[in-house]
Amino acid sequence: MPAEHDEHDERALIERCRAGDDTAFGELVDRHKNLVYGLVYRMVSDRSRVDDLAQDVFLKVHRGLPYFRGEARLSTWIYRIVQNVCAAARSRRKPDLSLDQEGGTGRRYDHGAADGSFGDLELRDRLEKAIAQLPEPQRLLIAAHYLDGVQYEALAESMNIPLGTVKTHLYRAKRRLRELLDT
Amino acid sequence: MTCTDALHLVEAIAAGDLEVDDNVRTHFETCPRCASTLASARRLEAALQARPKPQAPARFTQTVLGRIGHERWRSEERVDRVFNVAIVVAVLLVLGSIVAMTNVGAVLGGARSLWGLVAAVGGQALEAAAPVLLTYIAAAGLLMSALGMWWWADRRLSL
Repeated sequence: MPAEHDEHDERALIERCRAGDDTAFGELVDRHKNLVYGLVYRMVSDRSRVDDLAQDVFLKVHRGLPYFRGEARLSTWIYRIVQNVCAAARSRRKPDLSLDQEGGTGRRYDHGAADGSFGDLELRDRLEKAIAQLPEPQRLLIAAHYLDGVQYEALAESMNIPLGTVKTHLYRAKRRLRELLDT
Repeated sequence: MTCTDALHLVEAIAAGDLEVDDNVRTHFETCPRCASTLASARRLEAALQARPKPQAPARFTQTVLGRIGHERWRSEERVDRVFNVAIVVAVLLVLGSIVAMTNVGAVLGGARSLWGLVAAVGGQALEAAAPVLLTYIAAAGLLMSALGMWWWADRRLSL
């Protein structure tokens, strides 16, 4: 029942946004901002662009809401927009900085204090570098799957691939990560 | 169960996607290599779970709404500009018509000689282009529809 309730609530919110209610759109942004921000943060190596790109996602959501048919969940559709915005940003900019140069803005470990179970900075640094070496689709899967709220089903829906394929790609990505970390 | 079979299951087991049966469990308990791989996969799983989950900045929503407001203002400004240009064109047309009505003879004479010139030049050009004109029209049509489809697809994809 709660899922149905959420769906109904989400539809009502979308309708209010379509009617030009800015408060409703603010509510929509509040609901999804951490997911969007987290995804963009993990996909774009230049931290100084994260804010702008995350905002761009919501501008596109605002422009696209009249065309949103509601066949997928709103979060799935937003996730797809994040993919497009990040892909466009990567194609517009020069190749990423080399791994040794990464983190030019000095914000790489901004959120480290909250991370109790994985306190080893060196291991975390190696993990981030290994993730950066993955092909873009696998990187996106890893980024999205390990953020709250993005489940296998949503990933499959937004990438338009079967559920089993999502799992296979994720397992393959993790196997590759293990290889990279072991070397 | 062989090591190859077991190693295929390592990621799924570490992610908690697979219920391990006795056969699989026994293999991992008795094979040090597979056990070590599973332990490594579990460490990776924990590390991925523990990656920082950055939160949006405090004034994120207000900034987005501000940008939307600015975009709306710019779009309204564009409409205003088009409206102003349309008004200027309309006024010029009305003024031109009044001037023309007060000089009907001169306007008719000018129009006649202009038409003669256009007909002469146009006739020659049409005669020269007639054999390939249909090809050009078809090519232009194809080009326009291709551009239209590209624009439509690009708009949908970029949303």
